[in-house]
Amino acid sequence: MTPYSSQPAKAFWKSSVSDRSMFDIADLWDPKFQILPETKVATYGSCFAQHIGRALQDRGLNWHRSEAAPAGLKPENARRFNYDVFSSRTGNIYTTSLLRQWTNWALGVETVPGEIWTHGDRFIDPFRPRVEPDGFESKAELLATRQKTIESFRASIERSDVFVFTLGLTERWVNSKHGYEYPMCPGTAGGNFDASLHKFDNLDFARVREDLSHVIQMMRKANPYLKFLLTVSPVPLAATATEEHVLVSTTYSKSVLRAVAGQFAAERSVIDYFPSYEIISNPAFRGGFYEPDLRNVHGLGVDFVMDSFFACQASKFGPLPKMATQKPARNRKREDLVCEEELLAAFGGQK
Amino acid sequence: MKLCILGNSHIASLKAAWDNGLSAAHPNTEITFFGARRHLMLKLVEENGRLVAREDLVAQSLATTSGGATSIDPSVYDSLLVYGLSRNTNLQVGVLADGYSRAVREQAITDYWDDANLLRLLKKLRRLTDTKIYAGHSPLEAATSDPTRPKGRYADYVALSNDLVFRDLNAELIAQPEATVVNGMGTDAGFSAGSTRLAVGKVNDDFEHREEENRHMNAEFGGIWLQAFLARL
Repeated sequence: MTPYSSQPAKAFWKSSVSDRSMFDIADLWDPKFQILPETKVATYGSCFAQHIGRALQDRGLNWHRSEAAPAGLKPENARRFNYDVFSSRTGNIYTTSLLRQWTNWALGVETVPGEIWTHGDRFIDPFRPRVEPDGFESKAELLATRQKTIESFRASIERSDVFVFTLGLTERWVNSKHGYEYPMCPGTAGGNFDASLHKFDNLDFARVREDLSHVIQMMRKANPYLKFLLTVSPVPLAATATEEHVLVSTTYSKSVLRAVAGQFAAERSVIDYFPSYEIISNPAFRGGFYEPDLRNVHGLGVDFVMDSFFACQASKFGPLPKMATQKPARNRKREDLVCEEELLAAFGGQK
Repeated sequence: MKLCILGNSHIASLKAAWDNGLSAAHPNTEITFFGARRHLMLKLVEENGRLVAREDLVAQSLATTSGGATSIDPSVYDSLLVYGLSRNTNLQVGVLADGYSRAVREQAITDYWDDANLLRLLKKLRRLTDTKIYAGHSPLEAATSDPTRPKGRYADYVALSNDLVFRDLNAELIAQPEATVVNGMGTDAGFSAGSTRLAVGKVNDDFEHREEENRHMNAEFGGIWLQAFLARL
């Protein structure tokens, strides 16, 4: 007898991976808590997080949107204006440090910086640069809608049962004078790049862990019952600002994020990790869930990820009540996603 | 003046008011009602300058509400009003609340009307006539007065709808009379008491709606609405 003798089949690569069709690889997740129809789930993070909210909604579960689109707005226009993308209209939150910034603003720990960009006669929110496709008509309008988003983000913290966060990047851009972070490098999605003011930073394990720890502590203080579900985006970087090859930078970034997420899940009963990153990017799946650019995830991959999510939930807790098992929408178009980071590819020209 | 009113179940309140005394106060006005329940008016087809009922149920509804006609010739009327055929307008008024950009507001209003059967029927008419067409949305849902709710938002909403949608169609959205509006986005609940089903030649013609029904209004409401409308023609 060895410790391996009593291990389940899923512990062995041959029986659970190499001897199976990739579509039969199962039991990848042992969920810590059940998502019921009444469980309010908030979703934030990188572009891949958008799939989780929609999958919850497609199955009749409670995707908690604290900043809803106004009545009458057609779904395609709601997405164009960044409603129904995440639980509130924050735009993508790629880094844990940016999540910390939003949390601090929402909970009144920090005040929001006064910086506003202009584009012609329109006004761009540096912290949500693509949320309004043509920019805002005035500073007052920008500030009023941002305040609504901050209040809605706070409501996500205070009123949700589960906070889903998809960790996307470690690379970030900060204002070196004031210390705050931009979701996108100034000059790419708005604003002008100033080399003396805008500084690049690549977060390491310790900093990602410290940011996430701060966020969880703050959110749990505001809502002691809040649980967390972490995922890591399987989407490679569109571009890197380091001196490394973008593939190497991607591996660094995802490795750090995956390690931090795993450590939190291992240490805390209220924090879980769902392996969407592994399902898409592990060699066991042969890259088959990526689009031909080997970056964007095909709709079939998204469906497989979300089917795995709900299959693991059902395996652990039993099937959902009938009312919450609507047929999921299949093969969503990639264009439906709102991914600001893709803009960076445009700055590579013919490279 | 010859006025044509087309719509769904909501025209019952206007017709009841007209048939029960309002017509006597307007001896120079002749109104012909054409109605069918739910969305059935959209089944009318455009043919030789007329809207024609091709299905028996629609034809029966038109004949019952108009007094015999199964098609509508817009050219014989001085004014046209399309009424009802819209839902949740009260919720739409909320788009003027704080926290939405002008672009979002305008898109939401445009999208809402684009999806409304009211506008679909209006566009069918517009293809047949150049006469200005008036539009009246289904009544705002019945509500009890809440003094904390902002006033005036509804009027702004109607004005914006005209600027964005109706004016380009040589049409005008008519606001529900101010006397019937509470909370800036609801109809005084008293007007929903005793509302009746549109008579379309079925066994439940003129039956009262259930007590909890809060979308259809009574003849008193119809009278206030119609008087205000006729006064502006």
